[in-house]
Amino acid sequence: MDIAITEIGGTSGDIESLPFLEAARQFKLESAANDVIFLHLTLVPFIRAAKELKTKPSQHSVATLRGIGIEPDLLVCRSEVPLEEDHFKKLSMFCNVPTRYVVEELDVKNSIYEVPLELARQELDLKVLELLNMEPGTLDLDSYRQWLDGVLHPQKECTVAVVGKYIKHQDAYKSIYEALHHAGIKHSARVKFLLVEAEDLESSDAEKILGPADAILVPGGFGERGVRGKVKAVEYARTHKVPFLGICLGMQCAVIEFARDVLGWKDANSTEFNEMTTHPVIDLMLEQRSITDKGGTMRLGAYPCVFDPESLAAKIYGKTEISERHRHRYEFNSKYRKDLEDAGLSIAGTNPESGLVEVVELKDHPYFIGCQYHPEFKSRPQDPHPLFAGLIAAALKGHEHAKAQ
Amino acid sequence: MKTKHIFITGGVVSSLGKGITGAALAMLLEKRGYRVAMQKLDPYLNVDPGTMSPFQHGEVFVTDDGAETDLDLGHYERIAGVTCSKASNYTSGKIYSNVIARERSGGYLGGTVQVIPHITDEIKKAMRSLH
Repeated sequence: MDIAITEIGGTSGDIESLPFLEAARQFKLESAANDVIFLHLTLVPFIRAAKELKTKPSQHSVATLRGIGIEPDLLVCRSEVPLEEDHFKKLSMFCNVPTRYVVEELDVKNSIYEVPLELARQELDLKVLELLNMEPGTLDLDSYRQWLDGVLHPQKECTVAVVGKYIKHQDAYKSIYEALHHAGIKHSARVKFLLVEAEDLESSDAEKILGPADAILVPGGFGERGVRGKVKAVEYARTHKVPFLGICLGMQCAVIEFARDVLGWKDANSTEFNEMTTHPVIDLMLEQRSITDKGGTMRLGAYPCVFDPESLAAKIYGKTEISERHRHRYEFNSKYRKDLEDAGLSIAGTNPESGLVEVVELKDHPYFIGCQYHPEFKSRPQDPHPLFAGLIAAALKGHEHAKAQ
Repeated sequence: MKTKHIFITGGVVSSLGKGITGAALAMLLEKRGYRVAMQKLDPYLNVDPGTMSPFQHGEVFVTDDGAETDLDLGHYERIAGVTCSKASNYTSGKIYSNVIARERSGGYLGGTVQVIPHITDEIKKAMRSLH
């Protein structure tokens, strides 16, 4: 590796992060000159009443760092309005950082993918390389700028309902929102999120809440709260032919809903929520039964999955062997596989070694996929995940169709 | 070539976007032809965020090698295009549990185990694991 970047969580002055800062201080002390630098990210707040930017909080935070023996080499100032020359001078003077190495990072307007351009505008990368005594190389951002222009000027739009149980926390489904955004970019579409708290759906008319959605996504989660709402969302997507993607618990809810509604097994459930159910279509994995510790003991990380070549998933991925990341304890109960398949639920993907069901689909539906794994973790802005790209393609098709009518 | 190191610290308030800024910087350095690795050190005492509610901590990001990690690693993978691993996220809890496990197995036999140097040495080891 040429360059390692270590982000130290928390803010300077926190008791908890002191050992990390102390270790970083020692790390620099023990390294050759120009091998280690400190970049301090700080806030320069704009005080509306005084119409002024204030540098004092930054001065204090740097003073705290210097008190523990860390001298920042670079000061990156987050601000909503541009800094003026005086601010740079003042920050340089009081924080003991040369003015050239005091840079601003303004709030970006529309997308976090604008941030690299904002930093490039300030030549932060060049200044870092200067301090590390490394060759500048060349930077070509033309194709990135071109791509970003597409991101900022979508031609179409669609609405995706995300029916979750941690909806109020804006970062709880970060990768899912990003993956939907990436898929939208691919199709030149703005993806609007309809955030639905699963519990709210339980006592309401599904049509009223989910009616405006061009696609429905039910993400993962743990515990019984909100599961009835998630199952209701699946039912709506299945019966109204709304493009659907169920992830982890979302996939499990799809299996439960299908067993209850299509097979008529009214008490079908996951043993996570009802250990006494007569139809445990989702059950604790065998290897999980002897585990009592909660930390780091789920089925975690990358595992392979093989698709039925005839499946929608195989078509969407363009291949039949894939690897995806997992985080779960419960699984599709293979004991009910035949019954569910006979009733019309397609088993599209399984783990080649254990046979664990990874992907389920419905044939008589424009787009209905449930996956046990978490595709959202592997989506990239310029390389969206196939399952999300497929969902948005189906959503846009439905959106256009609805408009035409 | 020896690995060079950039530490990113934060001041004044949290949620300033250290993760996004770091990832964006990494992207630019990669475009200039360098190979970049990224890491997040979290001060809390949970060994990893896997046992925390998403209401507390936001999403738990999972790596290929099965680590349950901070969601900033998602920014690293998406913006910088790096692939993260277990070495990409350490918490105080993880560092302390390593040191205490070593103490129990006799790794410091005869000595007093202290924040400096034992915890800080363990942290420096974690920092070097990126190289």
